[in-house]
Amino acid sequence: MKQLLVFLLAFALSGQVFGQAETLIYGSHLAQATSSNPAYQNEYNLVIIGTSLYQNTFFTGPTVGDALKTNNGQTFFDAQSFLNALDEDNLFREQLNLHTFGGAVNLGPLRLSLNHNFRFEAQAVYSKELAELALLGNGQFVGDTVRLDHDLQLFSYSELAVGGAIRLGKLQVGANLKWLNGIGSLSTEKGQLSLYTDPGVYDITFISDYRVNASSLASLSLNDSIQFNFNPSSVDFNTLITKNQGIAFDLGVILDLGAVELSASAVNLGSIKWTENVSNYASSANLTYSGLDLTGLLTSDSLDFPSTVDTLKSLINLSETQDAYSTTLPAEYRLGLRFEAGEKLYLGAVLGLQTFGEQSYKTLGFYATFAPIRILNLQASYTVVNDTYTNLGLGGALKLGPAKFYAMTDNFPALFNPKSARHFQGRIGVNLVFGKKDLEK
Amino acid sequence: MKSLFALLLGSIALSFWACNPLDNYAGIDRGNLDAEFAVPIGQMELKMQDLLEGKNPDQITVDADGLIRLHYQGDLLTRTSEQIFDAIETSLAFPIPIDSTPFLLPLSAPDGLEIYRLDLRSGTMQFTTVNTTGDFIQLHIELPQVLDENMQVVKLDYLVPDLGGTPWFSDIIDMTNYTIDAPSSEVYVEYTATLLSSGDSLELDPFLIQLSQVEFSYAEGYFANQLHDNGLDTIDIDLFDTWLEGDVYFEDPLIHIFVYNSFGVPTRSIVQVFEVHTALGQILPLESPYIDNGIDFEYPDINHVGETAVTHFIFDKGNSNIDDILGSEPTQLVYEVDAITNPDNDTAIVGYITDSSQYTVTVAVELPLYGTASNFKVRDTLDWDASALANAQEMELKIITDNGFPLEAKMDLLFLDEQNQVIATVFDKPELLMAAAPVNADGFPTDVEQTVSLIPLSGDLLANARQADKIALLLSFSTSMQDGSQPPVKITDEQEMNIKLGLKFK
Repeated sequence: MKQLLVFLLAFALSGQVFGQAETLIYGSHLAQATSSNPAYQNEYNLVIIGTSLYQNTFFTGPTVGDALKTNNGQTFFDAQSFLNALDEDNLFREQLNLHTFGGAVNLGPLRLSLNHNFRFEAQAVYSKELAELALLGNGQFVGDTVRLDHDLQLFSYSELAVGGAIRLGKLQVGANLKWLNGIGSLSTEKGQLSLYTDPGVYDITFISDYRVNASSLASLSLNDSIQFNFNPSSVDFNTLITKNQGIAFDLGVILDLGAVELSASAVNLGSIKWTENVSNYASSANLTYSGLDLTGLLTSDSLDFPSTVDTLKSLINLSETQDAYSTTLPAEYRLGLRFEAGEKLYLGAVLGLQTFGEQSYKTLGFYATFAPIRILNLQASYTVVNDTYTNLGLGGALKLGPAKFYAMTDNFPALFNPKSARHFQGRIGVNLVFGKKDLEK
Repeated sequence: MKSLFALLLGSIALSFWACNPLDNYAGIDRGNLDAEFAVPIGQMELKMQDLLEGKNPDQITVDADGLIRLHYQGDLLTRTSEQIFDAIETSLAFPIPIDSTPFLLPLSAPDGLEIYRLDLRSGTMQFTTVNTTGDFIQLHIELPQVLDENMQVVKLDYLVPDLGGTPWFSDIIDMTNYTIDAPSSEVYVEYTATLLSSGDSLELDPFLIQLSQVEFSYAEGYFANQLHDNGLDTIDIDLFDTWLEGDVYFEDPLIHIFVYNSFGVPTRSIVQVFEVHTALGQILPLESPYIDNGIDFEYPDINHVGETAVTHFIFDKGNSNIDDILGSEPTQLVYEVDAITNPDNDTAIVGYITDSSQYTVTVAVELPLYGTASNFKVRDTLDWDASALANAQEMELKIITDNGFPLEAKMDLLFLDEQNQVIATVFDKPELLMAAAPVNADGFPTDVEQTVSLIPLSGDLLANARQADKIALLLSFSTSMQDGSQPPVKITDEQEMNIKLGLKFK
């Protein structure tokens, strides 16, 4: 066991460790735990999963407190502080999961489930120079090449999952099959950009190998200005069913060794093919903009500044196509260890890996689950997140009749000091449970 | 340009959509940050070859060594032989009484004109008399100097009846292609008249000859002093249209006089007016011995009838004061160059004119772009749209010139209101925009000179610039000083300059 813990720690600390996979849900005994490992058995024979919300926000670089300052009661954006807090490369990650309906039933050793979720996934990777360029202009970069590489993955989709799990002696195996229906997407397929401002008369060289795909609710406007549009607020029931289809799988296995339980899972293995209202905007250029040919001014009787938008269009040399494209879901892999420390106490650890585009997120969490009374379940966790070691989680579930209310977060200090936090995570909801099942072996 | 950064920022901003901490704020307050942008405005290339392309070669020419010459052409003034022939034809247009035989018709005039030969292109001749003798009169007429189309002496015979006092008219004689050959400038009419029945001679009284619609194709003789009055002409020189002040000295300006003469008569110029009007309002006369004494124009002699002799006379600084008067910002050349035939009254010179003879004169000013300039100032005013400056707090215009011309330029920028009143001046004194390219001993540039200029716009100046409706650019051109002197330089078709503009603004 000691060797295993050393291995887990070594894995988690072998580079940046990001908080992504939930720690507490893994040891919660809630039906929602099947979303992180479909091999879990419910402790109730029938569970009706009510509406619940899961939210996870994580970013590096400046905190809200770095960006927003208050002076004489007025809150303002402190750009300098914001920039000072940026790392060379910065990350923003957002997950939202709105569970609409679902349920699970145990039939002997077999568990069957049906669930529907709306999911939103967002990830942005950007350089400090990009932010500096946006906020400070290129004046300070005259003579230097500014790296503007970035990666943006943004999509929302509807997920209908059917699942099943079965106990085979000490082994539990389970799987979910998910039908995915994409609502909207904006995704950089290639994100290499750089800008060089010549020290002469500031000729701008723009090098790009860039391609961004948009579908349904997202678009790029190239008319009077150049801007991305993504408007999830326009989602209504008429737009929930689209032609953007996808399939995903969850797989899980649990090995019950008595007081020790080992688990492994791989979830969200799948992709969505975007075919509806698709636009691809690509730029592959190595262009230098030297301004306009003003030779005509020698014989002209007026002096006008050139059209900025026209200039940028020619510089970026953006082409538009309508080719279908696919986005891969952020796959999550977990290894779990649970130890029954007493009649009402479980201790556990979970090592998680999530891959999303070119990013991978690793997390290492430890948790304890304590059930002082039959209707109450308390949890605490500790998670290593992004080189910080003070992420303490709390959670609990209270059963009142068939209703089982629950709430949990992996970083409860963020609730009290949001301005300095970089990780906000939480889950809240209610299940209706019927027929306590004896999960004892 | 900010849109570019907005575009780039947009990707990031999207990421903050879910829980954007800035959502509660109407806009991003940059707080203590001033963004600074640097963008290229553009560039202009001034190549002499491009400027020369498509230009009228009568106006601009290029020497083999590339030296550019500007040409300003006057009107083409033409005088034909019609004027002289008209005078002769008019003098013969009346009935001439023949009161003796032989009767002398002189082909000369009091001013000394003497015609020795005339070729008729057309015309008619008719005789008239009155017979009251009661008998027929036999009339024989000879014109020994008048030859018909077969070069035979014209001899005519008529039987004149008594018409009871009514005039008798002979046939109308077509004189087309007749020749009058009168080496002594005299034409004689000889006649005899006898009564048919008795053979007695008699004098006819009256007896007249009527020449009608006579047109000559050739006249030969001594034409005395015929004046070709060409009238006043003006050549506009637009080189100094935008000139304000300063000096330009052309090293080798020229005035050309071209005369195309197919009159077979010696002709000499009479310069009535030849003067340069300057931008300062001065009137400077061209001075030269050739102004005083005239210029003898070439003419085709009697052995080259039908040919055109060309005279090309050039006023240069060796035979006139042209370098002084054309080096003083000329705007117009005003001239009247008339011509007079037989200026030396040498009657031994037999000349001729034909019905196609003409005398054409044209004057041209040629300014080789070779010389010196000192603070030659020009001004141009452009409409100014300052909307692009609306949000700028501070600007700095950067100009980089690569100058292949042997001229330096200093500039001043003025912002003007709608009434052209100056509301802001960018510089306290003219700022060097571009340094002159160095030249060799022949005045040709040997290299390109680069100059970097910065034009700051901020504070009150920027505020005034926003209010301006026009911008005035004052440029002052000079050739370089070398070792205390100002050597002349040459502008060639190979020279070019490149001007690049960039802008920094906050």
